[in-house]
Amino acid sequence: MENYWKKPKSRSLGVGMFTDLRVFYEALNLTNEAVNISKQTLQEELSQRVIGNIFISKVSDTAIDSLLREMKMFSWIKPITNTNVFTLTNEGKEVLTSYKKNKRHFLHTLIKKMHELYTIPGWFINRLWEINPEGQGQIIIPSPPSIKDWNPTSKKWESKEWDEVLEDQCLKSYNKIQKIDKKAFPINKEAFLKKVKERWEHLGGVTQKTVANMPKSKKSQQKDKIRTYSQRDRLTTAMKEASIHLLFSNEVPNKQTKDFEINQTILPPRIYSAWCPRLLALELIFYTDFHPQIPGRLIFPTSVFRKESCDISHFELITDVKSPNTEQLFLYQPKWEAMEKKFIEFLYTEYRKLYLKVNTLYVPVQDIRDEVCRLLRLSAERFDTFLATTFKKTITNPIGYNISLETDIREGSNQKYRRPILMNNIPYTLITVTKTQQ
Amino acid sequence: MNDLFRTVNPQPTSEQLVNKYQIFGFTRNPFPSEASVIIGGSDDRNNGTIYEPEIRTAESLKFEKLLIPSPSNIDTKSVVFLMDNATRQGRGIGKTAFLNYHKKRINYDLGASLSKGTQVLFAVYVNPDLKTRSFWGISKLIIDALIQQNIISLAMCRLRVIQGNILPEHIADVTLDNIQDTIGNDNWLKGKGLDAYSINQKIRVFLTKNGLSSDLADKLARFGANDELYTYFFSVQKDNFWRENANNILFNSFVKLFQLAGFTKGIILFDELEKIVRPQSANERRMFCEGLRYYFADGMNVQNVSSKFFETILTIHPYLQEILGGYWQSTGLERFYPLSGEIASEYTLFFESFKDIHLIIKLCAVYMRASLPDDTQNKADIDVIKPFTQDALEKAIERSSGVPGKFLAFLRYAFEKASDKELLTITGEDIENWHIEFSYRKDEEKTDDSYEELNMPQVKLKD
Repeated sequence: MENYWKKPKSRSLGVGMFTDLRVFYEALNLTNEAVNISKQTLQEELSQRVIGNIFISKVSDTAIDSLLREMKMFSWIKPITNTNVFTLTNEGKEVLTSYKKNKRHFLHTLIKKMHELYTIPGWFINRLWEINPEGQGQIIIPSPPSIKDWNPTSKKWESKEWDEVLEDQCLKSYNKIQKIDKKAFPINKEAFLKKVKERWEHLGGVTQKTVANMPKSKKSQQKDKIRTYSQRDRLTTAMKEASIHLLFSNEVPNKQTKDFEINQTILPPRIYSAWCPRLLALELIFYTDFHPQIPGRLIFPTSVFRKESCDISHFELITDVKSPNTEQLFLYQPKWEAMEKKFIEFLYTEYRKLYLKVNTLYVPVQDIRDEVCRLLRLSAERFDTFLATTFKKTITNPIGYNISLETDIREGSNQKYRRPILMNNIPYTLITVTKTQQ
Repeated sequence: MNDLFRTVNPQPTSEQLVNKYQIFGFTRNPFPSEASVIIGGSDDRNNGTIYEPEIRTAESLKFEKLLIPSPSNIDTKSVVFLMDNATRQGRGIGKTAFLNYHKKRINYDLGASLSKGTQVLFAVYVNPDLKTRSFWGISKLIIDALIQQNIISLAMCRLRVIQGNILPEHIADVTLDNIQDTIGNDNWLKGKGLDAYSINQKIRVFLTKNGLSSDLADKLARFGANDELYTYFFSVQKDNFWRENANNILFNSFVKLFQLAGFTKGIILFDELEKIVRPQSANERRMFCEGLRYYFADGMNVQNVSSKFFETILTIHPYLQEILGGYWQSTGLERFYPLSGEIASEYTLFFESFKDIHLIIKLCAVYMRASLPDDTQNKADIDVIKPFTQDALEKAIERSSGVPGKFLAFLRYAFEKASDKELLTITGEDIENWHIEFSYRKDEEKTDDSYEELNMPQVKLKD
């Protein structure tokens, strides 16, 4: 008998509205302090958040709606009848207390709750491992080649046909990925191209969104409006949608087995986009869109399904999240003592490699982080923590290395779109790692 | 002396220099500081003086076969290629040094030994500037080189000897170094009892009768025999003049001039063709190919075509082949001088990277020998690669992908590091460690085709 994943209790509505999981804690806390709280008050009180390097001062209407919806579904809050205020349930109060005592426990609770509600967290991790078992679940979602190599002009909405230029760009990325790590995208070339073309044509058929102004023609006094689209954006979307369809459908790629009993689209592209940052915040995966060697998004799990009897000294067990063949979900959480030496060595090596390439003393810390995390399978949070500890050590207990961190956005770089590292709640974007003089 | 008015000797004497290379027995770092040959420079490590012909024996033989006519080799070609095959973009393989060496070899006796006395040859070295894109611009470059490298003055001096009936005893002591100050100098001629003015007149008439424009003939006769031609003729002309006349002057007038002066062939060593071709537009590339065909292969009333006077070797690399290939074919040049395909190898001199350790050692040794103190005994016999071990050199050439330019630059770096650390031997391990720090990727263009494989993760989450 086939073992299937549980059908999701809820569609992933509103997931992705916010990716900073502290929001949950803050909302619980505020509700607890106020005993009863209205939506408006909650919205106003939620503190400033950092997204990338852009500060936002208010949680948006849709975000607050989805936050409240989720917390309701988790059974953490309940509305008071005939009013527009909420209060904490008993479970909500317990969760709040446990966060204050043990933040890791709160994270586990969130993972459990989300898996129970949406099924996607556990299923996604398992799927990653199934796509590329040898590569420990590492996959690549292709994008067009870098903007330096291909930066086409906008096209009129009407000219929406697929052509050789698009196929060429698509193939360039595909071939590059095949050379770099072909197991990370185990999709047949023809199948991929066919799907991208299909998605491209589909995207050309929906109502246009961009409306541009045409230069004033000599004849008319009026400015004519023509509808255009960005070829690059559309191809990026088409390639992403095609890849998601091929990798994350009900059937495991290159196998006949199904994951869910009823055929349904498990992970539509928008849901995938919403889940990635959240899974990263839950420390289940790490991903980056800006790996210098990779044209596309690199994703790898920092968690794994295993039988319980394995050595779990470096893992945290998430109880109640099981795969259909009864394996348990473990987060990879290496202890600092075991990682200490390796971490600084890898940090230094990757820094040197990048320094020699770009020839500036300060390099983007995100590049270092992305590769060190990939090599050591660390979650973003682990990296930030290890870096903070290492940094402190270089000052208090000299270990032969000097680390300097700065916050600055380089001109012409993609840094403003990338998550900075956070140390003591301060974001940093640039780093140097040098050996001290003997 | 008031410090404000002090002057110093620009080159510090060897006593003044702190010689940190003494521990190895050298007077200086034996290896060049610049990435490529600077012809005419003062540093013999950089200017092509230090050269070991044995490392490119095969290439030298091919060079002679392609370009130097002799009794056993009558069928030389007009347009051939020097192809840098080691890297796609062509850097540091030793082409300029090679061309420079052959230029000196040809010019020192005007090709007498190379052609077994059957030819009178000259070689001129052309390296494009950064703004030439047109064919007339290229002709102007070649004319400039011919003047600056004293080929024109040599031709004019020869004419003086022929036309002026100058007797053998007067020219017995004339060498390439002093020719401008002797035959080329009106006062010197007067000192020998010869009438410089009437010799010049005779030459002018002679040239005009043989088809040169009277203005050009006049300038050549008056200023051509020494270095005044550049000042009084070349540099005063505006671009317009060159646009209309450069091709004609080079491929007609000058060819006639050279032939009248007794030369049988002129070899143009054309370096770094990519500097011209790369920035060209599609149209300009086409015009370049058409110009080449007209003035070398089958143009009408072109003296160079009817006499097959000029031979040129064009320095290219595979990427240039890709750019030019289409235009080369469509202008019909492919029939005359195949650029690609099977037959092209007959017209091409291939430069590959080095792997033979014995050649590497020779290359190393010739540099190191030149930096030994002058009073070293038996300098020529020493095959010194100390302080490098053979293993170190092998690793170094491997890390440099067999490209001599990179190899020498890295050896310089390694030498500096060794002298700083006072290491008496440089081992293969040192080379490996230092090469990680020594990055040479700055000037390599990363094209779309470049990729690096991802390293394997260092932890295993699942067994």
